[in-house]
Amino acid sequence: MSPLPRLRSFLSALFRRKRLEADMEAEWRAHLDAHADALVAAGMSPAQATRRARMDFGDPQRWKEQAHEVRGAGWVNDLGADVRYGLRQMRRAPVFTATVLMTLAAGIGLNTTVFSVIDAVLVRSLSYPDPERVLWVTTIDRDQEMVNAVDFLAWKEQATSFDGLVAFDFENYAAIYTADNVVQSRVAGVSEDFWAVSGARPMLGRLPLGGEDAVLLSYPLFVTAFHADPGVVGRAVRINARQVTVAGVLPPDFRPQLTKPIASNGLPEKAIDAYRTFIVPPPTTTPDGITITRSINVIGKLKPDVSVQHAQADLEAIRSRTKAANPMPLPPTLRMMPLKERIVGNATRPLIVLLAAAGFVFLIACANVAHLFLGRASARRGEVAIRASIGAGRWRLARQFFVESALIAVAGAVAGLVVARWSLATIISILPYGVPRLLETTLDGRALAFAAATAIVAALVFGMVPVWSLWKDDARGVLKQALYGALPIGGRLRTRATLVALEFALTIVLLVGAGLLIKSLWRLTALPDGFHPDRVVTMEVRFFGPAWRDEVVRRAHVAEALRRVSAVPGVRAAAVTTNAGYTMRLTRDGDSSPPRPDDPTAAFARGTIASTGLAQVMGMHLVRGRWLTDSEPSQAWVINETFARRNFGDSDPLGARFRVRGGLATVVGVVADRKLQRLDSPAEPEFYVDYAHELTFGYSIVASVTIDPAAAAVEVRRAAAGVDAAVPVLEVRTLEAALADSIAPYQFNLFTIGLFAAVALLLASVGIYGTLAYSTSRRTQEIGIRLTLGAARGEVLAMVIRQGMTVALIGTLIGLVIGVAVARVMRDLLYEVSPNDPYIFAAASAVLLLTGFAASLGPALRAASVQPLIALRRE
Amino acid sequence: MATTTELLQGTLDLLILKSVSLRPEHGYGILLRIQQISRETLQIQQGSLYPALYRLEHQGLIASDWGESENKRKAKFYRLTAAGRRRLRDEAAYWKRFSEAIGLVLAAAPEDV
Repeated sequence: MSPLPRLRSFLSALFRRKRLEADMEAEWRAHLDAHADALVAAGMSPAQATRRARMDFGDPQRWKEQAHEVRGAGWVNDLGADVRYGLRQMRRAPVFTATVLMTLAAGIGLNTTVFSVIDAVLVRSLSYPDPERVLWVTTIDRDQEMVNAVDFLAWKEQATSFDGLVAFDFENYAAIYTADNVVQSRVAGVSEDFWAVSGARPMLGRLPLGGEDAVLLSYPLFVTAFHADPGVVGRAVRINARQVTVAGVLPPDFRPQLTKPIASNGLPEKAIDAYRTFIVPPPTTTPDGITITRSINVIGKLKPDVSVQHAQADLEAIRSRTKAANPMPLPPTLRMMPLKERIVGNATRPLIVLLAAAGFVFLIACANVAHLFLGRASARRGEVAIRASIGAGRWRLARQFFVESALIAVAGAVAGLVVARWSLATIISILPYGVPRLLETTLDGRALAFAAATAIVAALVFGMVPVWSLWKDDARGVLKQALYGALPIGGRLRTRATLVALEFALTIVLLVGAGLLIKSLWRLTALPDGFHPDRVVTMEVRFFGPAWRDEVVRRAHVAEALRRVSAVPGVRAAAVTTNAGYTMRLTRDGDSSPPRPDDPTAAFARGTIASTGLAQVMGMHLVRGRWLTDSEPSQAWVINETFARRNFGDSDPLGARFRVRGGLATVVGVVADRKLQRLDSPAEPEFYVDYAHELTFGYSIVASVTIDPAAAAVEVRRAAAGVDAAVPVLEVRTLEAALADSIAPYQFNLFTIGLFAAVALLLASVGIYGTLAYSTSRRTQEIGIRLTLGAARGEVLAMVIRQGMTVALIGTLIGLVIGVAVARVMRDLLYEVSPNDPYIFAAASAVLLLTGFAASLGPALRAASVQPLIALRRE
Repeated sequence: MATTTELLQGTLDLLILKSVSLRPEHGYGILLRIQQISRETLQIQQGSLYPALYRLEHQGLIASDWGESENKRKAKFYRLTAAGRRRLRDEAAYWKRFSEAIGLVLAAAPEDV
């Protein structure tokens, strides 16, 4: 009895059933013929003999089934029957099936979405070869991360722990001139080692030769700007003012993650359109003794088996030599960390909160489905009891229930994948930069596996509830009760009430989370009176080439552009400013020596170039002194309150003078703190400088308009571009859109948590509605008796609502306690809101209890409208 | 039908094994032989023989081949395998011991107890 022939016979029973059956039929025909022959020989008529032979043989169908079973294939048949039965059950109760499917689709779908995002952002490696060896290397002075070119050049020359050190920088508004257009693009300048560290393999052309000023195009830019014409390779294109050779085109999947140092909250980086050779310049000294060096960003690839600590020690040693040989102050602290940590570090906390929120929704969905199943299990007790009494074993019944729940779970998972696909696409399209690496997120095999796993867990959870509740039933007792229509419901109702209370507890936590985020966003975007970013049009103007080297020429251009833009109909006020601003170290006039880096009194401030109109366009509020004019005799500054507080304390800042390139700047006014660059960062020390004395090679035009901003933008752009056709005007949008990027992470959190809270609220109300509807329908007779005995309908109404609200209240109270503990985790996600904000907790409770009340009202009204006679006749 | 005895499953297996041990036999032949051996006291529905045959075949105790019956009909013939022969020996020995024991019990006189 070796297992092999058995397996063969089992498999042939499974897969060659038709042939086996034909075989059996042939065999049995021979049997019947032989038997009939014998009967004829014994004296029967042939017709009688045939009939008698059939009778003696019995039902061939039954033998066939038995034959199948003895070959071990019986359970496959049973399973098929279970599946067919389950599908029939699903069809027969379409409302039930649809409710369960939608609940599961929401639960599984949202979880799969969050899983995909977390997988892409936190789990998957960066797209570098040996990603774990790629480090972010930086030096820190106060909060500022930047690497001095002096440091970088020394490391590059002397460091022994790295396989490559890359200096890079971005130009966000580079103008690339194609044959027929000027394309605004984001160009990364990368030093030579980048190509080896990133493992780039051009799909067309080649990598730049050492020291060659060349550019490699990203695939999207190649397609959109150059119409995918391979002839562009080897040609020179104009980027800003320079002609640069296109060395090659990078493949579509080349997306190395580069990031710039950003303040606390880290905006994710947008896609890079082109990579251009960047040669780190050594410091130069101007005739008046000022040393100028570049600040850059650095990533490095560790040699195999070299630890971060070792690399750190290596660079520290080099730095101490550099510092000794160099009079220029270098940032005091060296720091390095895995690049991935640097890129996604800030996103970890929100994503974990998100995962917990999705888990809550999943639990609520499971609880809901469990009590839907529980309700149906009660309704089906009679059927189950009949099946049990005609011989279906407990295991057989358990399997039947499990198959049913598995079928629904699988269907729910499929629907969930549709939901996941939709929600992922929605999130990516409305908030592509809400989370770093979000654009890398896709629904892949791992997401499918995750959805399948959730479905299995769900099926196990809610499939077991009815099985467990039936396990204890004694078939005969239930049968009797079912026939007389009196099923005990007390115990079961308690289970259901507990599930609903649990749902309410979880929902209030999500509502509190969403409420805190709403308040954060509201705080973030609370704008001063008279400032309407949706009515401010902004655009970038860039000067390229030697023609603009003279500041006087640039100033003339700006003045003319301002004049023309102001004249456009619908423009209320126009001004010049700078989008990015620049940071400078402050040196008060009269200080004997420049402050040393380790001197705590040394301070940085961020400068913004401004024209007269800026105060009006941006709705700035002057606190002291006066605003800037367009014809200041010497450089004038207006500082913000933070600047004044830090540098002057209680003394008067007006008239104070700071040393700047080419002379002195005088403080003429103080304005209230504003959040213009980044809505989510706290106020920094800032100053505004009149544009006539400090004009860079690019500026922004801002214009507040009284007409439709989209229409105005076209006119404003035409006016600005009309001054000189060779000066590109780029990035035309409303200020609101420009600011939106900095609140994208908040919007992402709010959108996702808010969505989850809404789904949870819906599910919880379905839960309480279902439970009350179930219990009132079971109590129809009792209510009928009460009404007959003189109870007022209002009392019945109150009774049912009280029943619902008791559960809701208990759940809410438990949830509030959990909420207080959980909200603390969200502290990093909030802006100027305490995680224990009592108003939010109160509001969330009110929303939830009102929803619970509304959901109780339906079943309560139905109970109150019971006709006593009809109810009693049902007995 | 008063003399008809319900057939225990194990007994049917034993009877099949025994009847095909003499020579290869088709289903109808096995049935006749069982009725003959048991002197018609064992009555089974004829078709129920087949699931039993297939089970024994599935267990590797008997094997089957298509052949031609005595009245020139195509029929499937079952024969005992080596494993089947061992099983038959064991089962027969068991039944022998069992019936001897029962016989002893029934033959016991009151003074033996």
